[in-house]
Amino acid sequence: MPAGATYEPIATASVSGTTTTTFSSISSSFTDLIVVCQAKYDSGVGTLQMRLNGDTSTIYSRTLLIGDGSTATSSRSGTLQSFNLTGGAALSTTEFQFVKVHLMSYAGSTNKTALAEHSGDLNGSGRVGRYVFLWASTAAINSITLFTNGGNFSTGTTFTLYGIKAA
Amino acid sequence: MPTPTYVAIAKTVLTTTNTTITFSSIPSTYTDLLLVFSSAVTSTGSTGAYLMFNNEGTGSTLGSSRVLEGRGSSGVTNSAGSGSVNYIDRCNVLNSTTVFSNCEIYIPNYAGSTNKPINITTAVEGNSAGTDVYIDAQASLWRNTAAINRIDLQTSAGSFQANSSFYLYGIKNS
Repeated sequence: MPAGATYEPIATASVSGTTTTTFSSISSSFTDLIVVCQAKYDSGVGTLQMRLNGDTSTIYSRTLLIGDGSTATSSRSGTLQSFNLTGGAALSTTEFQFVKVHLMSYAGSTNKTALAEHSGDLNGSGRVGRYVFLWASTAAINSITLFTNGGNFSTGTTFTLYGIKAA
Repeated sequence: MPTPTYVAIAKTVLTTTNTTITFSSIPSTYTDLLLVFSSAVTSTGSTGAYLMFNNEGTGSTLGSSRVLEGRGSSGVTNSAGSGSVNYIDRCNVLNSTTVFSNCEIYIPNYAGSTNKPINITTAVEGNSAGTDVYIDAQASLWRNTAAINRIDLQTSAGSFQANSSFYLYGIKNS
């Protein structure tokens, strides 16, 4: 499938012993962005977060649909300072969790929406989630910061940024 | 010319019914795998399909699953699945022998030496309430540190119908 021209790896980061990694100087030449995360902690309790353009203002919001094995829930929150990519659940120190985030029209001049798929089964516990996010900014996204609000990322944690071009 | 990063590894499009689809000798040269398929089955008595890695059989290193489901009329339900990661709940909603369901299975770091999280999304719209309408999201875990070199899909009852299609893609991160 000669799709390399439309789905391109921009950057990848293997992260351990730190709480933060940033993809910066993102080109505006794509249509959408995809961020693929495989992450776990070395210690502590914290979630996986995403921040755009280093913006810490409270213009992030989200709606969640989550299943944890016994109950299904949906909720929304506004006036946030980042996207919570694990639906409010802590990362695990034992098993990797998977999150794929699709950022639509990231270089456009409208507010930015994103859709995330989260798989965090922990062999008897954990959760599955689908999340929609809004960053109420008309600025083009030129940097993406992935961080924890707890312990450090553990060895094997990887984040990859892909660009998708429209025809 | 950009580096091809989203590559079709193999495909199977059935011309007749078959109970098992196998992708073998999967190279370890990619970062992630994506299995996409659209299928119907010959039996109305089944609600899923089995996903097996490396031909290991059932039960040995399989984890649990978190399933989040919408059925149109009954809202969203949730269960822990069958307790086996290889049972893809509603992955092929088999209450119809003619309605094709669609499924994506994303496996990150499939060649790595850690346990493998698995992300599954399934959807079917059968134009009838109840049994033929599903949207499923499923998180699973294969508790095995071996590289995945083979994937089997097997119906839980009946056979995959002719014209069912299965595509395996490799995704490189550089």
